[in-house]
Amino acid sequence: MLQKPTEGENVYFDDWSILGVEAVLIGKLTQSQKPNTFIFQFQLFDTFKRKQLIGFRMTVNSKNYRAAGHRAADIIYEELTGIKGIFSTKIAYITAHKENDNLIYSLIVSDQDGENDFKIVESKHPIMSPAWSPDSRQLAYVSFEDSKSSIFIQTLRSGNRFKISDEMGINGAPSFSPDGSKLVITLGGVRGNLDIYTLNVASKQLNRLTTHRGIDTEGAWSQDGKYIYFTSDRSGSPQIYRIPSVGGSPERITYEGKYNARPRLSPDSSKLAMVHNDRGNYRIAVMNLKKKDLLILSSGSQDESPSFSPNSDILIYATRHKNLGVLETVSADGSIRQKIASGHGGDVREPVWSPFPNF
Amino acid sequence: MINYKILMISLFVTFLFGCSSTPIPDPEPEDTVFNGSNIEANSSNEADTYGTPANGFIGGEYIDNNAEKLSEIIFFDFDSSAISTEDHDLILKHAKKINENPLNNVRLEGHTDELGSREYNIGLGERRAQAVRQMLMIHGVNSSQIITVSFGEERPDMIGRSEDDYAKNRRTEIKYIN
Repeated sequence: MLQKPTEGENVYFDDWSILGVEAVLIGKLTQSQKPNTFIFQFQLFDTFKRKQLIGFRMTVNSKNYRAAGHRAADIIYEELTGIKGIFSTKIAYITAHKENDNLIYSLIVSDQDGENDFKIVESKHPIMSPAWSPDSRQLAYVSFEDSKSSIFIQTLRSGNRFKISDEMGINGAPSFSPDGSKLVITLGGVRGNLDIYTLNVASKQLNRLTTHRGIDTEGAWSQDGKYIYFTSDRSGSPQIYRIPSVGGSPERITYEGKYNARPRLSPDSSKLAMVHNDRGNYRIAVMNLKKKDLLILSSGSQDESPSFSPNSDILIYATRHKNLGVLETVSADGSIRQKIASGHGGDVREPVWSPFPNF
Repeated sequence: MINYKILMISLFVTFLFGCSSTPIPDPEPEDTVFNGSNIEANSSNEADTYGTPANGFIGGEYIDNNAEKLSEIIFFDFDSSAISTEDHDLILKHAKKINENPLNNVRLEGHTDELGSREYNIGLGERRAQAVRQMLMIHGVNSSQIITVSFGEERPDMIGRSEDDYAKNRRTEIKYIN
């Protein structure tokens, strides 16, 4: 039968439904009046209900083919599954490569599939711990460019940046609050006692949340902004705790195994991702916050930095392939794992998934 | 052996000053170059050329036949910030050296192997730097002469992935920043 319709009126629903095909997607690209510009349109049909589910049209040029394709995929995915697609989202990550015996560190932003990568910071001093602002317009990160750690916030479009935290000792592990007004950070002070603080981005007001003499670090906000999850070795080994974001008593969350660190909450608040030591291997694990069971998702020996996609369905993390850090994604149920092209031969680490874009 | 080293150092200094456009300076500046920063250079051979202090007493110190450049790296066991007995002695020597001159400031750089989470490793590296800081302070070093910085796993000395490489990366480096 081999129909290849490009117009809605040429879709013969009976021919498709008899084959068990539930949905048909058609599309076309037509030259617009402006040079090098096209009209890209697509329509999605339900063959059993015999109607269009969704139709969309956009103007594209050679510079935004990828973005247009991702936009279309997001619309289709959401229509069919009811779940927001992540095709138009970005990732940020750190690379380190050797240049004349020195390591050069870069902060890169790319599409979620690793393509379209763009360097936003380069330094001969370490850069680490990138974190997206909730509006996707800024990244916070740690840089050692002043021979010590300090935290910067950089606007992606302009490249403008400012130093938001430059206290004595360690300034690390920034993460934005869901409303973007605050960061949770780790400060070490002269005596090197790492504790969790919140930092108001506008007023720079600091609020100390932990005081224990163990290591308290890697804070992450719950989606409602009420709690901060963090790593602490107050029990003797690193475990995950949470504390009210306005201050209060810490409550231990993980008990399974001797090493649970770098908590990240799924945006739907149902799961907690972490680095978990599984019989000597550092792997990505996810805890269902209701059932409290732990599911190990990755299979490497030094996997690190889990980060949820904004629809909570996929995680990205760093693993090792042939002794080099590379990025991998895994579905939150552990069923599908995928390598991401990136790095250009350098070591890739600390991927963080952007929030949904605002179109 | 020592004489040979001194000769080498003298030649090096001559070379340094010889290269500059200013005339060769009299011996005093050499004294400040060497004072406290190099034990070999404080030997009696060098002191002869510096003359006698005004109060009539001759300064100087005993020559340690085994004198060599102090190692500036303290190594640690896996997941530990405990300092070994040998390193205790080494840190004591550094404390002496720092105390010799109030301008001797040190930066203690703590490092970890690459195992585990990066920001948590910043904490472990800091703990290693702090362990050395505490010991220096016990031996009389003023806290204002010490700063600590932790690089966690970000600046490995060895990029290999053997247990040997990891052991070499678990370290605190003592850096003099005069």
